[in-house]
Amino acid sequence: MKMTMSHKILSAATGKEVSPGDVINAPVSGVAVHDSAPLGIFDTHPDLRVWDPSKIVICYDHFSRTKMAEYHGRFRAFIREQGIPPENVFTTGRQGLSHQVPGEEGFVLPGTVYAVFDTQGATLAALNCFAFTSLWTTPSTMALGTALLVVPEVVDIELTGQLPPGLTSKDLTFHLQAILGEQLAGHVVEFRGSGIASLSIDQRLGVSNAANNIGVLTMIFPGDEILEEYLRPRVRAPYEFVSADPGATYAWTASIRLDDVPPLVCGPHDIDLIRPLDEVLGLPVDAAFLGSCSAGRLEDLALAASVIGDRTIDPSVRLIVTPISTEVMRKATEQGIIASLTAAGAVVTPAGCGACYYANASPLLLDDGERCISSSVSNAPGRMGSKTAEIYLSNPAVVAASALEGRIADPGPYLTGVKSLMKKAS
Amino acid sequence: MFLKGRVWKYDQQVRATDIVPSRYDFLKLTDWTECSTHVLEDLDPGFRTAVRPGDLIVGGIGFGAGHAHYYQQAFEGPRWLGVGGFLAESFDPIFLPSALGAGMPCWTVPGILGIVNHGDEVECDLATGTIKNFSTATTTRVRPLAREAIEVLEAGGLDQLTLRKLGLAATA
Repeated sequence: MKMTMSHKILSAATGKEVSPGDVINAPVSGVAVHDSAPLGIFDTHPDLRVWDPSKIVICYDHFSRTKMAEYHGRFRAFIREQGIPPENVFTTGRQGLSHQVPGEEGFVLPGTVYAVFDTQGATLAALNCFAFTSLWTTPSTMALGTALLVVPEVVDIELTGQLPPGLTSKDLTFHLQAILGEQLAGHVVEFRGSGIASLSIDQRLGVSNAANNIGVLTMIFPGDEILEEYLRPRVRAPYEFVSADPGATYAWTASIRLDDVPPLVCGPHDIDLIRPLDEVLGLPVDAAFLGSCSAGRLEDLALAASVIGDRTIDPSVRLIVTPISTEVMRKATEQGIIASLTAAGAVVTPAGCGACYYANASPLLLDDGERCISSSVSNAPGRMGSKTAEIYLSNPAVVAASALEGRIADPGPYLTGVKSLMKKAS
Repeated sequence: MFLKGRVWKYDQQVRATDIVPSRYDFLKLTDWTECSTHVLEDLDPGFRTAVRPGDLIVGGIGFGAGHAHYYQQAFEGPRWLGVGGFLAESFDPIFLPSALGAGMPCWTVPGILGIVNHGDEVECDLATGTIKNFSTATTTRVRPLAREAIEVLEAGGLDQLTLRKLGLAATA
């Protein structure tokens, strides 16, 4: 049978040909958990051992305000008891997101099944693998080395062209969600096409990150030279890219011209409320957040810094920047991005999930009735503080322009060679 | 394995935050008794007081979708009310293993919205894929729930099954 990337990966992992609807216990190549993940049966059964300590990666990223000491202590004990190698533990000083760091550090290989506790675990599928969120099944997966999965149907999406300047994975995924969201529910997306070459690995990770918001299990990119270059200095074992067979069976197919993607925002209060940027231009903002697993990568910070230039932000806005990982923090520092952002009036925090979720340690918490423009993943009421605060999600350029103007703004005028992100009405 | 009860049918996508609204965030407060008082609060305010043990919630495509942050309350809330299981045209692919793993029956039945009506008394045989509808006196054959999923439910959840597979005593 001619197979999709997903079905090839899951068939190879289980050693039998899988079909959509099958419930399988798929062997995983690794499991990543973060510092507020529940350890479940490992708490109740001290004699229980992980199936392979070398395959577990622990990332400190949430830094929960209330439970930091308690949880971090529990994790240190777990790491010790289970014999998880210190190099697999990305604790304070090496911290970063559990669905970013395993890729940066070469634990995630193309063609494998990779489980992540975090809700946005599909992010790593940008690296040509079946990365997915294992959530409450994670303790079982760590114990057995297999994940309970329902084999999904696959949708094939062709990408052509390239995104207009000032637009990012954020706009592309909002566009996907707006035009195909309902039909995509419950599937896996596999991308192909000439447009992929125009997307950096940072952007591809940002695209796959949106799987949970769109309602798909994961969104897999094929391998290419750009991915090869990203992986070469990082991977800890040899790998082979997986590709779909020509003529593989898909639930359905679609094609998206990246040049046609418009600037979009999402919100407030509803992850499915996707609107053109120009509909919300001018709304005053009290806060701006640049970071998260969706858009806290080097390219995102660089784009925001290029919008800000040598300007300072509106004095009525608090701009908080949280890089996704220590690697990104280091590179952003080396490239002068952190200096530009702090000179503009931003507060740059240590790497982590930051203000995306109210229970994390972050200087940004929204008060009643406040409005925030954010590059993060959720705008649910109460997500960043008060339940009456409004969260608008957008790309990092819009976050930066809005911080400059004190209202939701078009970053076009601040970007070299771009007048407006909005296309002229024809 | 059998599910028997009345149908609470919603001809739409029932999202995790439709089951328990996001304004009640139970992530750091696992008080499922309190959580259960908010089940379907916005979608069907009469549900909580009228639901009986064993009743089934039936929905359209992508049942349980939304930010996974809210999944646990979306299956623990109904479970504490005695809801016997979820049937849907399709499930959110992250919600499904999580709910199933917690021992909550989730059965994908394409066409379910046309097979049962709101308020029908039904009996589902998950292993054979049989839905007996006592209210309409009809029996419908559908795709059975996978053996691997029934194995999880019969063990009382994925954690219990995992411990059993590893020869460890179950949690009391």
